[in-house]
Amino acid sequence: MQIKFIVIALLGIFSFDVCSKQAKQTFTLVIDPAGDTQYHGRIIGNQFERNLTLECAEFLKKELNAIFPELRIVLTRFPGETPTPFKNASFANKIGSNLFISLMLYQQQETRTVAIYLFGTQDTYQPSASTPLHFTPLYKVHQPSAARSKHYAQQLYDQLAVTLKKTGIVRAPLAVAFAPLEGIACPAFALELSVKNKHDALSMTSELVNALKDVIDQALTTQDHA
Amino acid sequence: MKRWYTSLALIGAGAGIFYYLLHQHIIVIAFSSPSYTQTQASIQASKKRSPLFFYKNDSWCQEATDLVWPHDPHEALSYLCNRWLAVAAEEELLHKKVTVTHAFISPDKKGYISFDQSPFEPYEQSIHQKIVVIEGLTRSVQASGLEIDGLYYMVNDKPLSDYHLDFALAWPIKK
Repeated sequence: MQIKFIVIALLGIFSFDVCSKQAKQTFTLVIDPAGDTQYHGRIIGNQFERNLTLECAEFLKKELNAIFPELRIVLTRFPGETPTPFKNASFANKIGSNLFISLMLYQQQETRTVAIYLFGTQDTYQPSASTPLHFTPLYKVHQPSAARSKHYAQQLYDQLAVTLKKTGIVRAPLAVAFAPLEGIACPAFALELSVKNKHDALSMTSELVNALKDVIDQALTTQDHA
Repeated sequence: MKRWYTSLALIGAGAGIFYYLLHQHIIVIAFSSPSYTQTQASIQASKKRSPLFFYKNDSWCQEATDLVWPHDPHEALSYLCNRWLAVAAEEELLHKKVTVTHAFISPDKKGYISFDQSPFEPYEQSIHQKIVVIEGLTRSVQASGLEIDGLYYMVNDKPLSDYHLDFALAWPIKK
């Protein structure tokens, strides 16, 4: 009886250990739809940007989960939430996200445009090797993953440039002091899409799914885990 | 007694009206102030040809302009920015008339430019449109020869507030 109990306990500990290791290896993608209760965003047709980006983010989540069931996708907000400054960055860092994508929309009736932005400043990162605990200024948190951010953004740009070659313009990744990406430790980039209306926004988002698929696939296969 | 109250009410009303007129600058009382004499350096200026950069038709273009260039670098920065803003408004790159109220260059070569209002249309413009406005002004400042490494953009002496771009950080001037 005692031996049975010990065997069951050992099996339980072993399975817990396996599950915890799998949980640690889960790839987490954070999608940040632009806007909140304080900033309704730009006007697109008869909607505000914040409502449309949330719909597009939910669509993106559903489509990517269908392709990558093992992927954990988290949205930074729900309708009616009022995030405090840098709340999204704090949230993404706390949950150990592996990739952060900020999604923005604006209205343009002419050519379809996709712009990709990264967070970048003049300063160079100099990690302190002498002390394990140190404060990092908010505008330098991104720097250890800046190279990967740039790589993913460039890969996405290459994909979209082929997809939208005939129907639109894709702007090369540009590093600026981009506020929604400030303070995020994992690789992060922002996408701004020009759309005519809601239907166009969802159509553009589905094209984005195909381009993001390759970026995420590469991130998963290179075991880019936290 | 009744006459006393009436007089008091009239004096109070008169004082109130006078204070209102003073507050609204309808009546101005000019006190004698110390006289200032402008130093020779602050009014010295020379003619300078400097390019102004604008983003038009999906490409950068420059317009060489003759400027009356003050010798004081702070005034020069202010003058250059106002000139750029005036031309940008003429070219309809800005949809409202914006002016620089203060400009200053710090000893560590950082420029501080304070506008009277935000040059952006927050609920209409794309991020790219905002960036090219700021970048055009920045390139013009760089091309002018002023010794500045970065620019802080402000409105009414506070960092320019924008949802997409963080102006609490210096906008870099690429060498």
